[in-house]
Amino acid sequence: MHFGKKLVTTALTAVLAVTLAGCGGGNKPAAKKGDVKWPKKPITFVVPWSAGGDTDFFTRTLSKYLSKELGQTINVVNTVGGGGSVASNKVKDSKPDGSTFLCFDTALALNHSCGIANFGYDAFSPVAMMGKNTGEYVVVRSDFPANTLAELIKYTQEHPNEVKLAANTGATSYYVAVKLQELGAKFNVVNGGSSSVRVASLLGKHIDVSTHTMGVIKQYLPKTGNGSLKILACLAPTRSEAFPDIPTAKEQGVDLSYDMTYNILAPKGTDPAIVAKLSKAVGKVINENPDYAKDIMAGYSAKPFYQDTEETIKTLKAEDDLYMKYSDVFKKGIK
Amino acid sequence: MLAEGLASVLMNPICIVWVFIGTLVGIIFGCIPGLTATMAIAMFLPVTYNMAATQGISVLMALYIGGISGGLISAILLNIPGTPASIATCLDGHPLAAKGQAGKALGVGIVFSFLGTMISLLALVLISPPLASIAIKFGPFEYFSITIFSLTLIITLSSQNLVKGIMTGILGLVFATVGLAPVDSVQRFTFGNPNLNNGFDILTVLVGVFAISEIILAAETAHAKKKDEGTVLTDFTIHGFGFSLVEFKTQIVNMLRSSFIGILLGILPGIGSGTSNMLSYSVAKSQSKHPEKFGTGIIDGIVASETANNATIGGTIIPLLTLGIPGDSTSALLLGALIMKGVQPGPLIFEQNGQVVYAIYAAMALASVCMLGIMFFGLRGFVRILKIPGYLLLPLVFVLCTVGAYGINNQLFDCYSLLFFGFVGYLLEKGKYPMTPLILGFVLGNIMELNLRRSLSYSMGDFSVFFTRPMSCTFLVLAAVSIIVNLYVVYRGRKKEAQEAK
Repeated sequence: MHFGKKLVTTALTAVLAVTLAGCGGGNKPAAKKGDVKWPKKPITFVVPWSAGGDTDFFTRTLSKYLSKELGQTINVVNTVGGGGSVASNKVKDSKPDGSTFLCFDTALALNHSCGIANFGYDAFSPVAMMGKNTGEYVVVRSDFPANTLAELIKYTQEHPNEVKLAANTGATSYYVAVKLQELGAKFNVVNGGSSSVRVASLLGKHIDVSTHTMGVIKQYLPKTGNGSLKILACLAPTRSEAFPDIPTAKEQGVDLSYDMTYNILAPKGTDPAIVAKLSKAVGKVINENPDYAKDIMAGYSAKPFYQDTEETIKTLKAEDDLYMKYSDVFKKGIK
Repeated sequence: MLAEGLASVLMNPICIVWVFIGTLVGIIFGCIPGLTATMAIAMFLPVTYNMAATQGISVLMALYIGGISGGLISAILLNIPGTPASIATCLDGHPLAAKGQAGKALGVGIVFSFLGTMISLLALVLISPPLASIAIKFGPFEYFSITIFSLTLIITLSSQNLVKGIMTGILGLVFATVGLAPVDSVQRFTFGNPNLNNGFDILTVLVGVFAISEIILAAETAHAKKKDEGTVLTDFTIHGFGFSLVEFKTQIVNMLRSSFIGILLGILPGIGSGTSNMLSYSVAKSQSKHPEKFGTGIIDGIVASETANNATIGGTIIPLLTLGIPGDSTSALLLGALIMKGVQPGPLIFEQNGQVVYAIYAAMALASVCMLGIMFFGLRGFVRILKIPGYLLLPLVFVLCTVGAYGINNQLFDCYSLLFFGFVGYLLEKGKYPMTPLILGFVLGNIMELNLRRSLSYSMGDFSVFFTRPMSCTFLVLAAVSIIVNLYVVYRGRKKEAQEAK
C-alpha cells in the first residue's frame, strides 16, 4: 500500500507537470502605457506538421526568440493530420483572444485548391510572413540520363510513363507535377510520402524524380555530400543566394517557379492591436536578431524573411489565386 | 570522435543524472496507461533546448527506452498495455500474474527488455550501414507484402476462436479507413467533421479497447463480487528477478530470434514498434514445442514480446539517423530534436556529427542499465499495485487515460473517441471477441492501403509486380505458408480436443 501511494503521488506529479508545462515560465509582460495588454497568458503556436519538418523548424526557431521579445511563453503544438487541415480547422474555430495562432505555409493555399479544406487565407486574420525557403529543387539519382529539367522533359517524351515523379496531394510537389505535365512531360506521377521517405525511395530506385528543399538533400549532392543524387533545377523564381550556381527552371526555358513561404495566422476576429503587436515583434526578431539568422542558415540555408500584415495578405492572395486556378485538375487527379 | 562522444555522456556526472531521471520519468509514463513515451519526450523537449546537443539527445533517448520498457508493468499487472509495443506482453504476462507469480512475470519482462535493447544497440553500432541499405530496398511492393504477411498473425493471435479473431481484425481495418484516404486525400466516414479528417489515433483505440472497456467491466461486476474475490495471492518475496538460470537458458534461442525480428521490423518505418511484439510472439508460439501453453502464462510469451519491442528501438534509430525517417511519433520527436540541434540525419551523420551519434549509443547503453536498476528495485513495489482495491485504482487509471488522450493532439475530440472505443471494447469483451487482432488490423490498415495504392500507381495498375520482385514475392509466399501452417495447427488442436473428449 505504501508503494501504491507513492505511485499515485508520482502519477499526480506527472499530470501536474503536464499541466504546468503549459503555464509555467512566463516572464514579466513588457507592457507600456497605451499599449495593448497582450500577451497576459502563454501563447500557443499550432503547427500542422510533425516535429522535424521545415515549417516546424521555422516556427520553433522563431518562438525561441519571440518568447523573449514578448516576455511570454510560447508553446509550439504539433497538430498533425489531414494534409494540414486538422490544425487549420482547429485554429480557425478557436477563440480569437490572442492565445492561439496557426503557423502554416504554402500548403494553406494548396489545401484550399485541392478541396482538403474548404477555406483559404481569408478565413483567418493574417499576421505575418515568417520565412521563405531558398526554393525547392528537382532531384534525380546521379546516374539519371538528364542533366537539366529541359532534358528531363524531353527524356520523358521519348520514354512516356517510364519515369516516376513523386507528388503528394495537397503539397507543392503536386503543383510541380501538374505544371510539368502541362508543359508536355510524360511522367508516371506517383505518390511519394514525406520528403525524407522520398529521398530513400530515390536511392532505392523506387522513384526517379522528386522535389526537395536543400536541407534534406545536402548530404547526397556531389560537393556537399556523397554524390548519389544530383539537382536538375531550382524551382524558385530566382537563383538562391546560398547556392548561386544552381540554375532555375525558368533559365532553362521551363516556365515553372514558386516560393515556399511560411505564414502566421490568427483566428478571424482577433483584436487588430494584438495582430499588429505580434507582427511587429516577429519582424523585430527576424530582421534584427543575428542568432535567429544564424540558426535558420545552419538548419535550412535560409535567409531571414519577414512581411508585415499588409504585404502578407497580398502574398497569401497571390498564392491562393495561383493554386485555385488548378483546383479542378487537383481535385480530379493527374492523368 | 568516438571517445569524445562516449565521454560526453559517460564521463559527465550531470548527464548521467539526467539520463537516470529521463529513464525514471520514461518508466513512469510508460507504465501508466494513457501516458506514453511520446508525451514524456514532448514534455521534455523544451527542457533540452538549452542543453548541449549530446546531453539533450541523451535525455530523450533515456525517456524513449524507459517509456517502452515501462509498458510491461501495466500490461502484466493490469492487463492494460500502456503502448501498442506491449500488447503481446499481456497475453502471457497477465495470466502469469493472475497465477500469483506477478514478480516472476515482471522480472522476466525487465531482464529481457534490457537484453533486447542491448542486442539491438550492438546491431546499431556494428551493422547500421548494411541495415540501412535493407531499409532503402523496401519499396511499396515490399511494404505491402510484409503487411499481408503480418496480417496472417491474426490466426495465431486468436486461435481460441478463429472466426471471431478474423472479425475483429477486419473491424480494425475498417476503423483504419476513417479519415482522409492515403494518396488522394478523399474524405471517408468523416461526416463533415474536420476532427475525423485525421482518423482515429492509435492510442485512443488501444487505450479505449483495453483500458476503458476493462474499467467498465470492472464497474459492472463490482457489486457482484465478494470482498476478497479478485485480489490474487501474490509472491511478495522475490529473489533476484524472480526466475532461475535454468529458465533463462531455455529462453536463449527465443531471445535471439525475437531480437532479430525486433531489429528487422524496427528498420521498417511505420511497421516497427506496434507490430514487432505481436509478430515475435506468434513466431515464438508456432516454433514452440508446446504452443498450446501460450496464453496460459508461460515466460516464453513474455520473453518474445518484451525482447522484440525493445530490440525495435535500436532498429528504429537506424533509419532515423541514416535516412532521417522516423518510424513512429516518438522517433519523429527525436528527429525534431536532432534537427533543432543542427544535426541533419543522412549518410554523412557519422562524419559530420559523429560525436552526437556516439553519445546516442552511450546514452542507450546507460539508460538500459538505469532501467534495469530502477526496475529491479521497483519490482518489489510494483507487485503491490495488485493489492490496491479496484475502486481506488481504476478511477485513477480512467482519469489518466483521458488526460493521455487529450495530450495526443491537445484536443478534446480524442477523449470522445477514447470513450467510443471503450464502449466498442466493452461490447467485444462481452461477446468474447479477442482484442489483439483489432489493434493489429488498425495498425497495419493504413500502411497496407497506402502501399497497395502506391505500388499500383508505380506499376500502372499491374498486380504481377508483387510476385516478380523477389523480396515482395518472398513475403507473399511466407504469408501463404503462415496461413497453411497455422490453420493446420488449429485443425490439429481441435482434432486432439475432439479425441480427448471421446
